[in-house]
Amino acid sequence: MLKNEIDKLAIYIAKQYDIYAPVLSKDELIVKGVNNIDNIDYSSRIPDNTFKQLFLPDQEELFSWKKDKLIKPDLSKVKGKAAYGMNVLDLKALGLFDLVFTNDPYYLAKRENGLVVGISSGAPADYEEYKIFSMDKVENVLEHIPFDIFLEKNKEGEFKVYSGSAKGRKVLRGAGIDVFENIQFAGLIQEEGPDQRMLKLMPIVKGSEDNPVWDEIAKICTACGKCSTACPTCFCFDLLDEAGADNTVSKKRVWGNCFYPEFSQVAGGKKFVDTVKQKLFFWYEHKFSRTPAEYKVPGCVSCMRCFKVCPVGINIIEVLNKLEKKND
Amino acid sequence: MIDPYLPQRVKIVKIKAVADDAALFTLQFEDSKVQKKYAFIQGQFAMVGIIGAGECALDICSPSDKSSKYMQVTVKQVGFLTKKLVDSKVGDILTFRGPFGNGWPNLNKLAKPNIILIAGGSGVAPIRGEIEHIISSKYFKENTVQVLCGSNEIEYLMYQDEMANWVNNDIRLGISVDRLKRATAVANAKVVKGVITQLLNGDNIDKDSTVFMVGPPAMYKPVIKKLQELGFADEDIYFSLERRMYCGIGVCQHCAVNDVYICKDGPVFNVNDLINNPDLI
Ligand SMILES: Cc1cc2nc3c(=O)[nH]c(=O)nc-3n(C[C@H](O)[C@H](O)[C@H](O)COP(=O)(O)OP(=O)(O)OC[C@H]3O[C@@H](n4cnc5c(N)ncnc54)[C@H](O)[C@@H]3O)c2cc1C
Ligand code: SF4
Ligand code: SF4
Ligand code: FES
Repeated sequence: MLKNEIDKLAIYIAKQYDIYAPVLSKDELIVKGVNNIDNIDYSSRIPDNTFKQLFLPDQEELFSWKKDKLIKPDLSKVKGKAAYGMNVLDLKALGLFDLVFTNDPYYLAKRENGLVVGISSGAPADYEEYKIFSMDKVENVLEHIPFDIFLEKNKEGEFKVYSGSAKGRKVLRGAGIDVFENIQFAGLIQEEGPDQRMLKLMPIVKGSEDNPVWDEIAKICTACGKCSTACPTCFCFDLLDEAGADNTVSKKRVWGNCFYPEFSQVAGGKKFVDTVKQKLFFWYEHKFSRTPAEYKVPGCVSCMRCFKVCPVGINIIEVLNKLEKKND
Repeated sequence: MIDPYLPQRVKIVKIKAVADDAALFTLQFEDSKVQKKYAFIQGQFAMVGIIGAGECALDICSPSDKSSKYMQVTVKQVGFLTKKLVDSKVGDILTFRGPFGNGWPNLNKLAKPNIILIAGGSGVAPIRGEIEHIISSKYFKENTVQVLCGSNEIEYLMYQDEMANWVNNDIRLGISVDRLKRATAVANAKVVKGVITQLLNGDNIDKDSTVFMVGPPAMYKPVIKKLQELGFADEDIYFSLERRMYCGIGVCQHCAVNDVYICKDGPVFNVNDLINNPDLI
């Protein structure tokens, strides 16, 4: 399928949804609201920021009170957003969010009313370097990532189109696209069973609390928390009440950050996750031990955003390799 | 779909001071249908809040067999929200979510049915629910029940006014106070000067018992060690933990310790859980 037909699809989607897609500006590839579909970047490179904002905003009102009277939003009316051009790694992260927020009506409303359009143009050139977890060929992976529509771009710049849901099929037909392959989502775990590298790393990370690797990186980490903010799989949050005008109070959910000092602080000042070393361990442990134990999938999709934003260049792959080596 | 963050409205129907800086609140759901159906397990907690001031985790410390009539929580004033709570008046509306967590093990299923409740500082609050339950279910008639409370100052020892009732219901009471200025007794129990482990000497306690304990973070290790020295089996020692909490349902990550969530998998754990997760205490 040629690019001009994909453009028609984008135009059709833009009529029904606010489109958010990767846009190249100067050297940065940024996911943002798109008015002109010509600006959409189809390289399937990993954008600097993530799509997580669309489904778990950094700040959102859950419900509110006006003079003590509860005002509940009608979640069925939440305006849907289209996450357009999500690469495979970000779709894996979305799959994890779908598991974590499976009982969360606010998240689900955004997912159900929204649209997810994935894209791939083959493995990135630096694939081998970035590989933390097995990243199969697109055909093998499609059954194990969530999407409504998926666009696979070949070297000639032509697209093969897949649908991953009834919603996706409806949109495709509405846009006049009849040639596409149906993919039935079969859960995040591949047929061969859970990811082997993940299983290998689980006990290593879990038992690494006294490993000198943590002391080494704790010496340079500034606990700025940029890695967590940039990470597509980081989702921790706080709940708070915010007073507005006319006696209104909103219950807000805002992103948390395990590198921030208040994260684990209780009354009296005690912090259970206190030193930089503890914070680093907590962060890695969430991704490589707690999440795999709870959901049977890795808590990291190897996008390397954490490395790119880190002011002191802490490289997650090197850290994991060191932990593994110290264990051999 | 149930909204896990949406609280119910509860009305404060009674307030009683239980120490210089703590009060017991009796609460009822505004919606009497909700109250009638309400149930919880002793040792579970709720997220209790004031509209505009947020919520905090509080153990439900009334007997669970009265749950269709009312709930009680003890609030110790330690910060922003707890101060506002302590300043609340009868008739005020609070928000209430929960019950959350696992709660204490069922008394009728304990391998060792005699029990020792150990409470340090504001840990008396979560223990008080179990004591009320023991009294209201007449558990004390068949089994030995001991309550050991420790406080840093006598003024902060909660529930002194209820202790006579505990003792009248055959509960053996031991009290320690770190900074005791003059010899005194509460409900005829002589107050021991020092830390709570001093109440754990061989002669006074019934070693063929199950232990439930709650206290400040620094209390767990020495008390468990002392109990082990006295010959208590690990599987007979339970403790309830505190962490910063927001969601209460194992999502927000604030209370995570290795692979467990204190809010969902706890707050009550067994000493055997420390084998896999020594960082709990
Ligand atoms: C399972 C559990 C049961 C508890 N039971 C009781 C009880 O029965 N009686 C009682 O008096 N206290 C109990 N606590 C402690 C109580 O939740 C805290 O004292 C309270 O949250 C402090 O809030 P604050 O706003 O007054 O304190 P501040 O120090 O002003 O709090 C500031 C912020 O820190 C957070 N925070 C501080 N301490 C805690 C904490 N321990 N847990 C969660 N968030 C915290 C608050 O949410 C708030 O956002 C319990 C805590 C837990 C986790
Ligand atoms: S971005 Fe780097 S310096 Fe900042 S908290 Fe993360 S690892 Fe530490
Ligand atoms: S590579 Fe870093 S930013 Fe990407 S998913 Fe893993 S931890 Fe998160
Ligand atoms: S309070 Fe949110 S995970 Fe426990």
